[in-house]
Amino acid sequence: MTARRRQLHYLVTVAEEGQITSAARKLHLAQPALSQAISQLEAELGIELLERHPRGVTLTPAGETFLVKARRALAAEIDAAQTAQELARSARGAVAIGFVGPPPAISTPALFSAFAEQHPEAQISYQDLPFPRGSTRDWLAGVDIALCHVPLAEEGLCSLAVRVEPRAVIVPLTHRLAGREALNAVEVLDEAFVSYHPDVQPAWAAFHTLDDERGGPPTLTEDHALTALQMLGVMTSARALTALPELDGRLAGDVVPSVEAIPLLDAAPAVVSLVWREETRNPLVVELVELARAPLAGAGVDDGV
Amino acid sequence: MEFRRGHLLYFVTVAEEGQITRAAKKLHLAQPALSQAIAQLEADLGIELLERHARGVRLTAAGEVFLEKARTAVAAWSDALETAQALARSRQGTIEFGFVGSPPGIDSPGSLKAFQTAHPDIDLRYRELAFPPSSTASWLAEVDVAACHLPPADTGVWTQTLRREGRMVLMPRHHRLAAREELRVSELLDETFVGFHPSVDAAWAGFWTLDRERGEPARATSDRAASPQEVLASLSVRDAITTVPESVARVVMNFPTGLVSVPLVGAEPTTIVLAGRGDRRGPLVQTLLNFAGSGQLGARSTGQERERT
Repeated sequence: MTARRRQLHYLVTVAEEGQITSAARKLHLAQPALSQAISQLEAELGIELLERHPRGVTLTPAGETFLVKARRALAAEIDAAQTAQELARSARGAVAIGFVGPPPAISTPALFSAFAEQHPEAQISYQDLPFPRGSTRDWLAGVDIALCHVPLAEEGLCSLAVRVEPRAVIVPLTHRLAGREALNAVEVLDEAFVSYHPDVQPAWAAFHTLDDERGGPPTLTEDHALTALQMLGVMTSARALTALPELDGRLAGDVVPSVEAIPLLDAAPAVVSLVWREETRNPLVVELVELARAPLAGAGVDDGV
Repeated sequence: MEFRRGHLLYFVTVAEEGQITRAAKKLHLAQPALSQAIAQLEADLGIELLERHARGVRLTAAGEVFLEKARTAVAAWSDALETAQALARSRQGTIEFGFVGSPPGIDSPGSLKAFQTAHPDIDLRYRELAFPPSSTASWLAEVDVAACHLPPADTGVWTQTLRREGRMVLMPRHHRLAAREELRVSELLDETFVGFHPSVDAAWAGFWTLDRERGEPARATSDRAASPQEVLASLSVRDAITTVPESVARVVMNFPTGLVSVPLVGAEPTTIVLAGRGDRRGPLVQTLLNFAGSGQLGARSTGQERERT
């Protein structure tokens, strides 16, 4: 990291934490070293960025103005770096496939094994993604294509449904509904559901808490989940449930012995899709999509389970 | 992945100049050092950005895609640093005052002195600007306020009109129209005008070459003038003309330039404004605008008003 970039990163962290002490902890720095770095930045720029109070720090008006620009510069640089990585993958015959929940090779084996067989020389890597948050484009930035329950549609992004399947609720074995063969939606709507992190796309979170069936939000746990593992953790500790595509739910039950999936008989189905950038130049992305489109490749929407 | 210091700017400059040699000159770098930095960037990224030819370099397809992002990042960095400089000026009580053409203190003497007298704690610093490109916001990045003929409208840029004034035709003494008392627009449409640099906003340049009155671009010299000084330099050696605000003509006539100015009748007058970026409009600039709004700053042009349309 260049000195300037490091200083700006420190400033952004201090502003977010509102305290030098907690920012220093987050940055793995000694508190005096962080204070000194910020003072040095202030001296170099000739502006006061922070007001020091007994209980923490706040940005001065000049600090606020500068921080907006500094954040934008850091973000633009990260964006350039991600584009470069995407171009480099494309140039060396590599593709990064993101996923939420169970890995694609397990959840959608026909498509992904056919893809691997067709491209024995390709460097295929899989990346576990957090639940979609912010803009879908930003969320997708580190990979070439992703497989998950369909996130917010945006201009310039494409998606293709590869599995349409019923939803299931997954419940901890200690839950009163555990052991049921199947459930109707109305039987679970009043239960406590796992709360998703406030940054998670609202429509995506609502789908997993069955808001579409209920017509509104449920009782939610206090802890928020941002990843599949956190979701399982919150679920078992708070005895709450969540809805998933049936196959994802079953796989979760196979992996985590303390939860089980119960099919929902009458809820609207889940749509698991491939999502990618329209402008992608990676030929492997194009070929994966082609393969998913071909009904006889053993990967169409009829074939998910 | 992190970029090394300067690498993004180096790449953008090379891409824009189309030649390592020219880019090196612009960046004040030795040519081998620049070549090496670009090669290093390509190695860091794992992509080829440039194709090398005998006469220069061309972007690869990947280079084209990356250029757009690199440009955005370079622009965002300079915006952040320029904003910091503006904030630092504001703290020191300094206004960076840009101008195009005649210096504001000379074209309407007294008024800025009155401002300084009324606000001795505010320090005015002057910066001569080239003609505006189509992005007025980037043109005004390094100043807090500028006095000039109405620049191209742009998001985030405000303007406040100071005055309207007529135009004069400037030409070398030997020009066949040099002896005229006044000139009408219709007499100038077929004249040769000093050419502007392609980076100058087309509408701004066309205003001075009477394009709207003609309905098409003027016949122009091969000059590529990007600033008032360059226009004057070209005029002195060409058989060509240009139009300027009266206040600018008055200042030019005070120097032994060998140029002649003739009043222009029937042309759209110039609109002299104060302009600036919304994100540079701090309390100091506001003080200046209030002063200007009360009619004390350059609202009056010292010559006679000329609006015979």
